[in-house]
Amino acid sequence: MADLKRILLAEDNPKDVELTLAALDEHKLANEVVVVNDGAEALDYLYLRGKYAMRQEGNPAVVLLDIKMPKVDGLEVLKTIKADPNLKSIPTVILTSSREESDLAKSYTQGVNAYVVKPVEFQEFIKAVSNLGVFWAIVNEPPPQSASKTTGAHEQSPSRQKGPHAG
Amino acid sequence: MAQQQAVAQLAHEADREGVQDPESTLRAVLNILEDFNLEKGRQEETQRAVLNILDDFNLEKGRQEETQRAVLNILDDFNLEKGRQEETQRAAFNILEDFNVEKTKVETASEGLKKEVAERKRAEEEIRKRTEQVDAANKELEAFSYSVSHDLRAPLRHVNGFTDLLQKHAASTLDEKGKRYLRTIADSVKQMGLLIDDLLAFSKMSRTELRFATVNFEQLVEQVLDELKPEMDGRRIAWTFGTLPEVRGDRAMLRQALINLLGNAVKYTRGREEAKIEIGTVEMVNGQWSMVHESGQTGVGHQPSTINHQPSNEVVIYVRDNGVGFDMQYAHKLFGVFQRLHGATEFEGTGIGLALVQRIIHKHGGRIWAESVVDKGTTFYFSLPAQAGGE
Repeated sequence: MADLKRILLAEDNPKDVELTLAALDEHKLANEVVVVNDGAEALDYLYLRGKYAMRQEGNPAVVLLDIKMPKVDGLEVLKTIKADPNLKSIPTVILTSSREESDLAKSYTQGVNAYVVKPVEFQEFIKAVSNLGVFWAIVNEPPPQSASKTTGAHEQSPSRQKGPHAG
Repeated sequence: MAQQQAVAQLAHEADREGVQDPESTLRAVLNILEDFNLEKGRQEETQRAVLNILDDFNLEKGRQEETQRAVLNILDDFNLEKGRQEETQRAAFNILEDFNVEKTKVETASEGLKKEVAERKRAEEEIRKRTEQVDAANKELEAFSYSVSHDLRAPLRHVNGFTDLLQKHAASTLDEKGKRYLRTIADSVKQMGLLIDDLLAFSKMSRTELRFATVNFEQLVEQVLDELKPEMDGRRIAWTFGTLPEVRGDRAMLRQALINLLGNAVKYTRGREEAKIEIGTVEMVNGQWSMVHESGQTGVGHQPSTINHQPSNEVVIYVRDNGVGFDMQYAHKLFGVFQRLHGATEFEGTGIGLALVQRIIHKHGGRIWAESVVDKGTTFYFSLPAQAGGE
């Protein structure tokens, strides 16, 4: 099976990227992390588009999304993921500074798996992030990869037939 | 008979006189007498007719005079009526005049009223606009403090993170001074984090709408004491609980207020071998506050200077400790944002706890005040809407 432990991290602030990687490194998970800096890149990765067209196939074990990102923000990425039958089973975690109720509500409405507010205290931050990494990338059983290639949901739609669909 | 006598007399006289043909003379005289009587009769008839005509004339005259009198009476009555009508008319005109005078008065008053109403509407509109402006300004301020404190968390997190990483990374290369410098940075950043968190909580609370429900204060106190356990670890604290009522309020906010008040009580009694903390209800009895205990006994408390009458739809709760207390001359600063009455080296804190409590109590429509004696202790009083009579 393809790399089960892959973590997709969507975060625009390089300092937060570094801290998150440092935290994940506590459990040796840093090597499995793919970092994208905005929502558009995140979607490119998931749909194997753009600079990720040639990447190894397979969905990541978990997607960590910041909310405030340029171009496409975390909530929009979340919405796209959860609306796509090929992607919606990927565990998605919002990892953000915001504790705004509206962001919380929107995320859970979209079906986010977890919502974690980045702690200001570094030890707390490490705990939170590594817990996430350990849980989703090690402890949790990721959903089975779909039989067909994930070449992008849009291309798949026309070929889908009505009636019961295997997988 | 008289006629025959007369004729006889005449015949005698005729004879005497030597009248020649006494018979034909008599017959002629008789004829003349007859004609005379006839005429006389006719004259009498005429007389009678004239008298009748005179009578009728008098009758008519009488009737005409009556009619005249009647007409004169009618004229009199008419004049009387006319006089009355003219009087009525004058009275009517007077009434009309008075009416017009009053009407003018009413119109003037009405004009005046209209102006007043317009003025008042303008004033109300002014007030509404100002209130809108104030509300908008407040909202802006709260949004600002929220977004500032929110946006500050990211760089704060970074400083914390990289300081920690630096401490780990450079531990071997740093001397004691260097390590101490790094610790100081880390502590300062921690303090900054607390300040920002408090500011965030404060501004967030200000933006939130109250959600009123029945709150069992006894239960709430139990819950809060449970949450304060870590702070009470290793401490000797004697708790006294008076009767605690049910109140109407927002449970989450009241919990926060209690955490701050009880947390303060725990913190500022740190120097005591045995801390004594009380929480209960006070009632106003004869103008003085008295504690309400379950056993029914009441002790006498202090009377806040501005209050001499307790509204019946509220309940007043107190929290008393035997801690370090504060100087009453600074009491007016007690609830100020970021105001502290003790040095940071004596007691940690950001100075926002009581400001938050005051905000919460005020949002519930209550009052909060405190009394203290330095080194003896402090009592906080606050009022909340009572449960009874709410629904």
